[in-house]
Amino acid sequence: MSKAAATATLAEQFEHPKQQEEASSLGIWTFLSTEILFFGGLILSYSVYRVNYPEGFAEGSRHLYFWIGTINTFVLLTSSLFMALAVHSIQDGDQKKLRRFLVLTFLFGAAFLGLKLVEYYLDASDHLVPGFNFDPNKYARPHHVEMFLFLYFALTGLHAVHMTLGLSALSYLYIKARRESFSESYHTPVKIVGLYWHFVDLVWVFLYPMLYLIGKP
Amino acid sequence: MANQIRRPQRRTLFLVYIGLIALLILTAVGAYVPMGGTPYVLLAFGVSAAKTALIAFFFMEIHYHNGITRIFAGAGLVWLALLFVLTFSDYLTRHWRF
Repeated sequence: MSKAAATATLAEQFEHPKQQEEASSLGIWTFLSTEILFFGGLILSYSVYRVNYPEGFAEGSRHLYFWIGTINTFVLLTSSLFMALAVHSIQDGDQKKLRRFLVLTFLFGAAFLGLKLVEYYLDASDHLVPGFNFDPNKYARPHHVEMFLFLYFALTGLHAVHMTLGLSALSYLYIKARRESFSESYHTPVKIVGLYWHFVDLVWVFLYPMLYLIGKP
Repeated sequence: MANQIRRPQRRTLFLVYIGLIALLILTAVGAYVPMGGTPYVLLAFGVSAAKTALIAFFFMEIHYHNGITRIFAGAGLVWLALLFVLTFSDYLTRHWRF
């Protein structure tokens, strides 16, 4: 890239592109740190109740769709690989591959949300929604199961909101990528969205055992 | 200088992905092996920790960021640890009698 093109993407408060990239990196990691605590609060509530009512939580967990959770974990890990490959491609200056991997990341992310919606529909059909149609007569420890299910919907719901925001960010990247706004020397937005996407994947990596696996053995 | 990007090789990304899927299969299959609650919970969360390490190092490339960024990223984990340690130092010791 020529020097003129490099300066075109450099905001006036920065001395050089590297400094700009480092500032963006610091920004997204600051945000992700607050996100750790955002999810951390809910995960802490889950942990406290789980320690106090292990049987009720295991009972609730057994009513969830284990295979949907497992397939969704696979889908999300795959989308993270595609995101990493998208960053890799634009670092080599390959516009076509960047667009291809952004589309694949988006499709797998959308598949995750689609499966999640199917799962919510099945959960609702099974009368598992607290405050809406929860049926306490089916369980040995209905109050503890209800608390587990409340946390299940809160955690996966918040995660789904993050996925939706991630998909919007991916669409934005794709529009920019079609205009060839990114290059070998300037692709900070792709990296930043990538970091966010991997983080949302990481949250799911913990939600999966917390919600789907604890009742298994 | 500018052309030398520090990053994992493409092949490494695929190997990491295979590792992640292998770990997922381990937890999913482990769910059907009767091994008792505690060992399985340890296995499941051990696998989560391993997946986290793989994603943080190879996909998020945390070790390639500069010092200040790593401190900011680590700060989130430190505060999370405080949140858990202080809360559980209450909840887990409430029944203690001296």
